[in-house]
Amino acid sequence: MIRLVNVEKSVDTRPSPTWLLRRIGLDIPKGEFVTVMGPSGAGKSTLLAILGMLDAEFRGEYWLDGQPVHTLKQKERFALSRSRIGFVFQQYHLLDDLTVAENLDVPLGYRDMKSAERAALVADTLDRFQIVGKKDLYPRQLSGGQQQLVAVARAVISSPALLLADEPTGNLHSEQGREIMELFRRLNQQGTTIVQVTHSEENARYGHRIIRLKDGWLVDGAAAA
Amino acid sequence: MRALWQDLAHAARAVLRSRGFTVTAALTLALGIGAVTALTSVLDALLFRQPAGVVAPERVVRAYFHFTSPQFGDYRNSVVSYPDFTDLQRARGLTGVAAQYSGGASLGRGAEATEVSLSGATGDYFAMMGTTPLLGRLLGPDDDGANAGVPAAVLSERLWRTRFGADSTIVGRTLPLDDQVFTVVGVAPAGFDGGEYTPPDLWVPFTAVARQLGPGDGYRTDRGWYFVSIMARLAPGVTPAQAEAEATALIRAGRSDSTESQGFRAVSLGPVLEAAGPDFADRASLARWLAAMSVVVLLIASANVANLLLARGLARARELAIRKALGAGQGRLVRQLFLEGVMTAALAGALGMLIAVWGGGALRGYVLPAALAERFSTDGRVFAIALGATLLAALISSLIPALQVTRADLTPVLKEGGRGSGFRRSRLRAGLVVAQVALSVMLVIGAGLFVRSLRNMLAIDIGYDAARVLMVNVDPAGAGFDGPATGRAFDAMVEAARAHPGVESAALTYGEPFGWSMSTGLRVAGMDSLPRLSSGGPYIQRVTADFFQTMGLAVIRGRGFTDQDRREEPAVAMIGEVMARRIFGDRDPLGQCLLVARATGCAEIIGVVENGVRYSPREEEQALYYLPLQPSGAETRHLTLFLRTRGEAATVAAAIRPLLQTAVPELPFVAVQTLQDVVEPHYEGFRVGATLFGLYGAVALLLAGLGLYSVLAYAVRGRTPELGIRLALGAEPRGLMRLVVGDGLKLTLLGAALGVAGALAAGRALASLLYNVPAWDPLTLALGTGTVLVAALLASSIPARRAARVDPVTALRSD
Ligand SMILES: Nc1ncnc2c1ncn2[C@@H]1O[C@H](COP(=O)(O)OP(=O)(O)O)[C@@H](O)[C@H]1O
Ligand SMILES: [Mg+2]
Repeated sequence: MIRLVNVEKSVDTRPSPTWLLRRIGLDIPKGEFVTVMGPSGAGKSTLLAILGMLDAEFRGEYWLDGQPVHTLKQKERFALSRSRIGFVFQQYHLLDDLTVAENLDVPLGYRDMKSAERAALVADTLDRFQIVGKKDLYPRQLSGGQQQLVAVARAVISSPALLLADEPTGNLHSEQGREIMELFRRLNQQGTTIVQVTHSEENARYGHRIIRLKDGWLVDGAAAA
Repeated sequence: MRALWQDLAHAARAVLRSRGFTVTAALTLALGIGAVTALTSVLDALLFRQPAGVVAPERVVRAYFHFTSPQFGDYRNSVVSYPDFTDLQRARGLTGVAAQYSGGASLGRGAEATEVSLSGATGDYFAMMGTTPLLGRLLGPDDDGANAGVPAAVLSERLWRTRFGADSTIVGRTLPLDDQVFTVVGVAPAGFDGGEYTPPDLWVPFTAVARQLGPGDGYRTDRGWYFVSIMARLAPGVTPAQAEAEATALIRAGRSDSTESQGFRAVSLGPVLEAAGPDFADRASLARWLAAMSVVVLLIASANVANLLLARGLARARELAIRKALGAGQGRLVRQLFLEGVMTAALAGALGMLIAVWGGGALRGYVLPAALAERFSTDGRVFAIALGATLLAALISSLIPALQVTRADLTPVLKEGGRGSGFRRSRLRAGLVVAQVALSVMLVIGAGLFVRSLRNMLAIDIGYDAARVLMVNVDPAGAGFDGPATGRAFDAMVEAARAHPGVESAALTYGEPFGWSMSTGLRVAGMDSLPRLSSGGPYIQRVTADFFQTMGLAVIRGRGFTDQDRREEPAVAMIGEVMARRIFGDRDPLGQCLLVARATGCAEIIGVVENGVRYSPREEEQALYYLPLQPSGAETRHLTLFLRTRGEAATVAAAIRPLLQTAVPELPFVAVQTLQDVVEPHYEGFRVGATLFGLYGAVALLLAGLGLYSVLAYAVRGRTPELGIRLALGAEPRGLMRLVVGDGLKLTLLGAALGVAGALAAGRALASLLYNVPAWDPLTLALGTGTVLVAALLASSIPARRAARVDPVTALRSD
């Protein structure tokens, strides 16, 4: 599903550019659950941003489902990302002014859907994640675990083929973290490809493979096991 | 006290530190303060000042007479007959009653002649006003006697200064006015005008001028001859209402004879300041509207600065939180922020004063008659107005944000290091923007209504080629020329004018478009009665053969007059197209016989001519007809000379006056003006309204746009994380732009809706100042709203583009 060939990323700094990613080559087949690990500042988030097409400024090739992301125009890239990708962040990043249900509806608003369809899907998702009782609450009225649960629900509501999660349990207690991981496992079993960043070996064990980054270099786990 | 000094020092430093902000805020406020000061100084000059040189002016009143007649409906006159004056002199509720006649005279003769405006004042006039002279003495009862010898004259300070170089030995000098010689007995105090809207250049005894107005003393008993205005001082303890009742009773008794009653109803007493009275209600109302509008601009400017300060206050939340944590009380914080605001406002006040001094003069010159405008400089009162405006601006622009910012709970700001979530959607800020938009919509709609009125006015075909016609007024009779001499003088002027290469044709008329016209008994042979028009008439004018061609009135049917038609007993007539249609209908008017006044012979209608305006472009349909002027050299008074020029009349005008003034020896002052200048005052109110509403509307729009911009720009900065999240959830940059523009539009639409509602409400009061356009004119409402929407879109576009450029990676980074 994902193929990276010689992906490199640098930012302009003086006197010489700073390298964030060096010659990354990576294959992730459909249905895999991959964990990215590495010390802080290794380039994990940078890699995820490129995979999630939030960042298009890189060199090398990025193929997603056979499409050359590195040559796509902005418009096509947005379309591709909308149809394939869901994001989960360490800070949940729910929208403070919106209720749980409204937060779930945000991604649907960016996709061509009738409002009745959207409402049905939001109701379904609330049900599926067992947060119906929370639908009218605002994020600040929820615990961290509950917020992340909502964030995951929001990330997958439009059934992305690829779920990207940047330290999703970083702010959670281990118990809450485990619940999120169980959720990921189930999503993966239902067919979602997952790439997660984590510092926890325990969380890493939920995945099939571990990729290790260091100073922008991929040091381990380039090819599928 | 020390704390206050400390706060002042802090504030000064804060103001200096953020120089860009201070300059922006000060300029914004300065616009508002300048706008208010400049315009209210006009209003002050017009309405709120007290007349100079009058003791207890609030007790001095001006009489207005109310009539109801079947012919003219309800109407009001401030100019009445002399017997009315003598009746009112008997009122016990009035201690001094004075009459005054306003007119013009020629000062000097021939090429040297100039025109002065004079007031013929009865003996009580100055005593009643309580005026003390600047030089010499003023007029008294002795001057006004029938046998007063050489009549006295009192100069206005303005005439004394401009014409006589403030000569301190002026008293005793003789003054040739028209055909009389006067002796200067004194100079009135500076600014004294007796409350007249058009201040006179000098005062002379009433009898001296009244004698000239008609043969002998006939005016003393003639109730039908209206030429005096009456001023009086209320007796101690008497209320205006009591005095009005007494005055009404006296006049009713005086006019008990039905032929003299003329439908008299009542006397009302207005302020001595003519401009504050009912005759100038429209002008005063326009001035009030304009002043109110300037206050609106000030409010918008203040709201803008309040908004800027709010945004900055939020950005400074961290500094304030630290100060609070260090023990600064709520009051201290408010005071510090308020002081900063006051300093900015003070700076703005100074700038605003400059704008007012510079713009106020221009505005007064534009809105007021020259003599009135000139007398009002930027004085202490204007400074007081500026100070008031500055304080208002300081209060609105800084106290609200100071309270708002310090009331907010600042602790979370400290905890979070002041990053990111310092942003709160401020309902107050949004409210300010909505108010700004609403107010500017009102101003823009107001401007639109005036522009439409002006266009409607200008679209009226007045019939004449105003730009190609000069109107010449001269009063040889007043200068002592007898009837035949007057007629010869006019003929000589026609001759002289025709010889000038810039003049195409010349015509004399008895009766003057925009000036005066007569109606007399008229019958049509074979018709029992004539249909009446609501505008009265038919009105007659006597003209020479070239009149129609000179004025640019087309002869539609038949022929025009020839020189041979000039006879004592006219045999031919021409009628206007309105009269042709309204009186003759389908019948052919040509060949019909008019019997004018007591004439025994027919004046046969030989032509139908295009209708020209009788007195105002706004008038209803007027039935007009024309007879040939009496033969050359016949007994004549009061003719008007019209010249058709080659090319623009204005360029020829300057050469004509000396030419005519020397054409006849000893001719008094010759007034030459373009017909365009005569028509112009009819458009003036609309022009002033359109220009000033337009100008202030544009400023308001600019300020509201800035306000919207600052709110949206601040929101985009505060919402960057949210925008990043949205991008990660599939939003496109365009979508984010739409989000920002949508927010701007929401505020704008709300404001626009309120503004339209406000405009509709205010419009009803404005209606009397408009012409042929309803205050709810859909086109104007739509255009006004549209303009503001476009401005709002422009203002939103910059923050919107910034939103579209948000980089999700940076926006979402956690470290
Ligand atoms: N725009 C940038 N400019 C300079 N340095 C950056 C930029 N973005 C990221 N970095 C640096 O690059 C390194 C990798 O960042 P990141 O991918 O966030 O690491 P992590 O593995 O902790 O997620 C870090 O040292 C970060 O500070
Ligand atoms: Mg990271």
